[in-house]
Amino acid sequence: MTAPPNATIGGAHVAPSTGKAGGASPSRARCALGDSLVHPLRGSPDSVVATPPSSGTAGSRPSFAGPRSRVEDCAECDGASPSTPRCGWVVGPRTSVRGVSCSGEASSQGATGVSPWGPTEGPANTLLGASAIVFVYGRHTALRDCDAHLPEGSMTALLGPNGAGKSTLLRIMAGIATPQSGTVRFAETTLHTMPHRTRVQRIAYVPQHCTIEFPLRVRDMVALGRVPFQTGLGWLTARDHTAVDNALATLECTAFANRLFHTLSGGEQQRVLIARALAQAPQLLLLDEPAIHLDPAAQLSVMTALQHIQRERHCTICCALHDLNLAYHFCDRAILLHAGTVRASGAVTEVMIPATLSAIYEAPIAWAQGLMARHGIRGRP
Amino acid sequence: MTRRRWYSLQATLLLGMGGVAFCALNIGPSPVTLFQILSATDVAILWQARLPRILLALAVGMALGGAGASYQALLRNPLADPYILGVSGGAALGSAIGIGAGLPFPFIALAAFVASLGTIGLILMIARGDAVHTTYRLLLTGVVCNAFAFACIMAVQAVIPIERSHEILVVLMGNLTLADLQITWWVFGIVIVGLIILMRHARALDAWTLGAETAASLGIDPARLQRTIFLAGSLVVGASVAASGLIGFVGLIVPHAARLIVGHRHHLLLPLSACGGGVFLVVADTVARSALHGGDYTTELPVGVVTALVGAPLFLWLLRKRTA
Repeated sequence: MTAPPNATIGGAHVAPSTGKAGGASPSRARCALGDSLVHPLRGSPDSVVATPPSSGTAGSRPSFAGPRSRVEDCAECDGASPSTPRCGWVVGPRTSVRGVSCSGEASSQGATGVSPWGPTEGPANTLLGASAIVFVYGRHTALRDCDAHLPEGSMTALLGPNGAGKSTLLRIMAGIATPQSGTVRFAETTLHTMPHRTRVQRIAYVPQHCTIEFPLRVRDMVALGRVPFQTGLGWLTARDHTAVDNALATLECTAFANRLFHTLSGGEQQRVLIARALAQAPQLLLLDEPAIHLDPAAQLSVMTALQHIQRERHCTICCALHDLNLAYHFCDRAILLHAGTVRASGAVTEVMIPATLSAIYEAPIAWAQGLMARHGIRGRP
Repeated sequence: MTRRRWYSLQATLLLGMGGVAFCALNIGPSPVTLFQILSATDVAILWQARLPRILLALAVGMALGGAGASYQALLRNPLADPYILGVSGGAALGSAIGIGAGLPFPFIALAAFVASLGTIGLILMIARGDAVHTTYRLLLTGVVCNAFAFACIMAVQAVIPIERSHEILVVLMGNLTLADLQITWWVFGIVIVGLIILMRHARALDAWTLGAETAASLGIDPARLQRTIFLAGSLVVGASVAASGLIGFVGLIVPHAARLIVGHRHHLLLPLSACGGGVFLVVADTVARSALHGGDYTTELPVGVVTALVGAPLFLWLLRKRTA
């Protein structure tokens, strides 16, 4: 399998990114690599078996199988009949999206919306695939007909306004919440029938809130990440100690390993929580708003640490983010959620475009354009 | 903490507890010790009066200490005590009804235990629901059940003859005088089983104190954990209330003190808290047996009075220390 032509789009954005912050360039350079979905150490392109998505097992549904486009409603034209859309989000088979506004200004791009990266998203590369997820809290539908796929070795940002269903989707992908309908496939098995212990040895989840009622030392906190591997009453083996030490070192928490967790600063606490997840030695790391309530320096340190984990530990990462700038600079893929449905997913350079963002966040397009210009984000016009 | 070190620590704890119990066996209002047995009366005092009480004090203290520590983790509230979840009220009501009906003691204890099992079932049924909110529902249901049970106890107390209503008062204050060896062994058995179940969930409780979501992300089923801890804790609390009435403050202070010593990791906290509870109650009971003895006036304090007299100031001091 070779990298499809569009994957070079990510690479094309390396050059204009000179105006960005220093740490950003490597991430963009890697983006091109990420698009081809071949991890530098996990496998060569030859080892990846390309399968067309229509025959895929990982989460393709009959109704959306095949390379046909899907038209979803958008904020601009509520109630438009799906068969004759005035406008809408034209979604390829769960990968690419092209925003098409009512005026049809982007209609020329609609033609390319038919999964130009289809082969790269084949089941062989997908670590976790959620398809047709429906989740209802009481009367409130948090997710409806939601498809999300996390390619192996990628770092995906989960974007969307408050209440779009980001946390719910993360909890479902972590196996903590069970959707009312739809399936989640994790590495060739169905996630929600997996034994708890097997699941948590592979998937780590860092919730947004961590209540601390009883003061705990940092090291003990991180050692809780070994719970899925422990057999006794709570004693740690040499292997557990090594894992804890490595996790502390990776997140640069060794200096305050013996301090009490609640005495740390917000950024340090977040790093400790990530270290705990890392002590689980997960294949997939899911984080709910890891950068929220942090100052810019702490945000950078947390995101850099995540990027380091992705590269050095070959961990697939998906994090809900509110900061589009962080998402663009540190993640190579993005899933855009709006009102419980995935409106777009794919490489950040492809999906984080003004038209998409303004529709997702229900903000004027000028805002999205301004935002991208300010942060040096160069999406499609 | 390696496995070997943990086991040796537990052995030390048990030995220490045994040592305290042995000392308590040699202390009492009459000057009888194991090394100085002079008559058949002395033998009776040692083996029929003191030993059952000491063993019951150990069992009840372990139950209250262990259940207190696990309830604090379950409710994520360091101020929770073993009587908070309503089971104690049910057991006390069972005792009160047994006393009101004029049953002999073993049957009063049985009535109390059956009532506590009934309360456990009732609370579980009412509090059932999604895992995130079960904790609050458990707590509120427990508090309301307790209030209701105590209203019923007062009603029973009002309608029965005055001598028997005094017995109800004794149950509410908590005492260990009614113990015989057979009941003590039963209580011991139930407490050991309950504590082993609690101990097996030590790791899960560690994770649980960080929130239901964190626990779930570490592979723990929150609903199942809550149910198990509540059931095991309530079982030992129900058995201990049935045998000895409501002995206050043991389940509140001992876990607190244990937390100050070993921190909040439950594989260390639970055993220390249980053994500490046993030691505390044996010492308190020895004081209750011997304190008001001298000259021609001899009486005995209910052990619940001693624990409350020591416990309440100690608890306030711990609370101040915590907030300071």
